[in-house]
Amino acid sequence: MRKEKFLNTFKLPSTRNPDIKIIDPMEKLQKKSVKQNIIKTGTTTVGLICKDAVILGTDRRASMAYYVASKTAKKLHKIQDHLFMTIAGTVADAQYIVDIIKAETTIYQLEKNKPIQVKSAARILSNILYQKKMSPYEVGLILGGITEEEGPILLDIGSYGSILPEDYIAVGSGTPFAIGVLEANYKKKLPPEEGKKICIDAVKSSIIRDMASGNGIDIAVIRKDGISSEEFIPIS
Amino acid sequence: MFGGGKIQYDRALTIFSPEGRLYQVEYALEAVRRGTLIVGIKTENDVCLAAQIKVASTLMEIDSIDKLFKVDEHIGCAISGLHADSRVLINYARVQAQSYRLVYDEPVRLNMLVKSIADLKQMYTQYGGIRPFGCSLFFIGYDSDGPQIYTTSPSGIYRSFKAFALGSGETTAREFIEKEYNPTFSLKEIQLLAIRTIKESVEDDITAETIKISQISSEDKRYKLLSKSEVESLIAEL
Repeated sequence: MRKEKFLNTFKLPSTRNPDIKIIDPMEKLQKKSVKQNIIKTGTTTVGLICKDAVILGTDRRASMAYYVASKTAKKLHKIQDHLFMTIAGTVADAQYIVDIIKAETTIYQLEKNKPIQVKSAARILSNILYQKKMSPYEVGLILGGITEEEGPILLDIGSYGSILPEDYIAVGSGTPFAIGVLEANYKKKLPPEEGKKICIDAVKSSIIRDMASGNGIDIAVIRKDGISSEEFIPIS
Repeated sequence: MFGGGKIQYDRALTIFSPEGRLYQVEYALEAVRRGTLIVGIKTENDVCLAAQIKVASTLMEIDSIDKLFKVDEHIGCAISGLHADSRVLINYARVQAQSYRLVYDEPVRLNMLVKSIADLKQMYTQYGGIRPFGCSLFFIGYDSDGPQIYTTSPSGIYRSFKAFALGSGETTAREFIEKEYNPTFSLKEIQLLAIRTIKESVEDDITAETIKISQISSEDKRYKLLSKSEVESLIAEL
């Protein structure tokens, strides 16, 4: 009996035994990352505050791991005349949240008879996201807008509902590349035209280095009194 | 019932009278008839809505009296009857309009929206322990079928019109519009006709403060409430 037990310790693990598995740590890691990439879009979204304006920019690629799922994905959304949002993360989650916030802000506007403040819209988003803390919406949002009370405001909204006010931000897989450009060039009270150039440069640099970003740039400039312009810049 | 007296058919809502009438619903209609006058007129391209505002006291802030409401980009409505009841229905209409956008990704057609409100109103004429809405909503809208006018009544009936008037003085107003209406009118002409109709049917003075006008033109197909100065210049043209 003792001898058997002793010999057993030298037995190689059988592949037929379901209890014993040979686990390759690298394989597990790869599997996880592939799984994440399938449901997530790699993205670059950028936002910055200028003098009396907020500028938001995104790329147009939707990726599934190493596959470009869409070359014309819309990640820059007009919520109201004075309020824009960029989306990153799971496309279905993000689009659902865009639809909901559009409806909520419209009802707010109709009932209160004034444009919703950016912070209030962020709070609505935050409450929706935090409710799903245990199985969160996989999104990274940038909310930008101008109201009379607040002036130009830029908010980073995390997937659990965090709200972080910033002067300039980048969200998505292209963040490391875009944020460097912003960090180096951003100054306070920039004229909107210069801000727009920085925003384009930031997205462009991540399009060059990030595999999951590309296919052109969408840019929105939000100015006072609900005046905003949207533009598409093709990049080969 | 057992006291030998007459049975009162107007006490409980869900009881028919021997003539087959629902008295509570008819009383609700009376509340609408006593409200302030609303006039809506449409042509092939445009539609406008005018409402009279009665100021109960000089101490009142006139701007706080709401009579015309925006429901969605392309839909607006005026109310006649109990103000409080109307506000509930308007909130309901706004949510319905947004939820239609969420479900179908398109602006709601006015007849769909009006139908859902009429359904709600009908429900309140049949269940026990409740009373009907004492208000009529007068909708204007612009959808895939062009400009529209719809009214709903407390009984749950809804109808579409070329031009219509609701509220105290409605009979005179309707006769006046029937006489003057011309489907080839421009937007300005129907607005002036609406103001004239109110002026003819109501004894009160008509100023930019006591009348509110909204419009949807074929150009932008968006509901717009006219500002005080715009109403003033319209009145000056009468």
